[in-house]
Amino acid sequence: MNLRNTATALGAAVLMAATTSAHALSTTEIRTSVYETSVAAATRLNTFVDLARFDSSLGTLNAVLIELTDTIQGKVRLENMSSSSAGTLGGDLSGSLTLALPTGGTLGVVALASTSFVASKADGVADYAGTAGFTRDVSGSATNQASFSASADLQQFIGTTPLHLSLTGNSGFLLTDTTGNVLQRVTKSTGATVRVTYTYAVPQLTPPTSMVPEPGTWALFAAGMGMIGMLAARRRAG
Amino acid sequence: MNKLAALAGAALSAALLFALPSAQASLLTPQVLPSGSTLTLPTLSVGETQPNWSSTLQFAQFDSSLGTLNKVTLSLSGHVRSTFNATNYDDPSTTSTFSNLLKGSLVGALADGTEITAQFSGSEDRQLAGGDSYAGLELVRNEFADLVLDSQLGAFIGSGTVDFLLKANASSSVSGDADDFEGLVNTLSSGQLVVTYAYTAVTQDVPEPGALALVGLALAAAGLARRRSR
Repeated sequence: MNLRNTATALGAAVLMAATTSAHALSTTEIRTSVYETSVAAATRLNTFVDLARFDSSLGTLNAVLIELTDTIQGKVRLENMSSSSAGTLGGDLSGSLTLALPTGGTLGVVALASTSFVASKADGVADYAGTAGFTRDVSGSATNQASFSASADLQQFIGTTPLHLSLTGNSGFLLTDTTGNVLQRVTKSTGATVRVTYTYAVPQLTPPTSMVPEPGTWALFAAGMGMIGMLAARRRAG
Repeated sequence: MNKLAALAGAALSAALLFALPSAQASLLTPQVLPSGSTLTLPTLSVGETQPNWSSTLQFAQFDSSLGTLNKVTLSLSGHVRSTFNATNYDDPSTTSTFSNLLKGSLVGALADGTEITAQFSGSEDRQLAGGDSYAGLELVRNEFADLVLDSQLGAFIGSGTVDFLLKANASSSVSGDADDFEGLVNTLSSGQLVVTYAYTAVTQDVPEPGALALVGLALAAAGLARRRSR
């Protein structure tokens, strides 16, 4: 009795194994497409960026990732001009970007670059160097991202016309000192990069090569059949 | 009789001499009012100097022979003057903004650490087209602060001086959005201290009965001498 139950269980296991492999074999391939565009941002940026939409003939869109990167770089030159006091001089550059998303809402990012210098009393030469002044290159960048997987959102990214997204931004400087007497020169430039990544599923076109059960599965199946046969033989004999 | 007249004269002058000190005291302290008297010391000042500076000001202690010191008022005042020049080297077709925030303080301290502080702050926002310069933006701020002390005034009494350490600090922050910007901040600050002592003057002396009697006696003697001489 026990043996018969075992054999039945074995047969079920074999059937399940076969079903599972059949599912694995029908899995589609996941691919990604990346589109990127960069803009050299001015003091105040107010433009549009165009990015390709997802071509639905490639497969089924599963997810969209939008990455917005802001970079800022510049040169900060400061000189303490107080003849009576040493002090700390600081220069901060910042840039901010705002991208309008096709699903509504916005994606924002702020990049910062800063430097500071402990300056002596005025050294008599307004050259942004020496003990009272400095010249430094600074840079910084920041990235923010938004991802989408809800089908209603994904629909906004599918089509043949490009996405036309509003990109606005501005950049500025902040120069500080603790003596109230300072000579300043600052230059800066900023840049924006928008990247969209489409993750999609491509149906498997090649016929599954492993539709035939593997040798191990065959052996198990044979063992199960053998056991059933043996039971039948025993019963007959009994 | 000449002798007597001389005696009477001497007595009269003696009486006048006695009365004189009180007369002098009342001349020196014109207001003998219930609220008391005040004495304002000469103004001490530090002229316009680039911050951050510090200077020790010295003022006279209160002469206790004038009366009883009730209150000391330290009035600190000063100004911060900042000039700001800016040049925007951007493309002439663009316009940028900039702002200058200036902060300053005057802090005075007595030997025991008691402080008096006057804070200054001012800011301006401007627009500047590319290629343009802005010169002479000037911020001037005057501030005042009083410190009134009415107890433990021992340090202010005597015949010496009191030290008052005055410090001036300043800082500026300039912000803007031009891509190529040049700025020059020049700040000067000054400070002034006025010290006023409020006190109760020594009570004005009413001539004492003894002195009055002496005067009466002298007058009587003079009258007598005159009568006799007739």
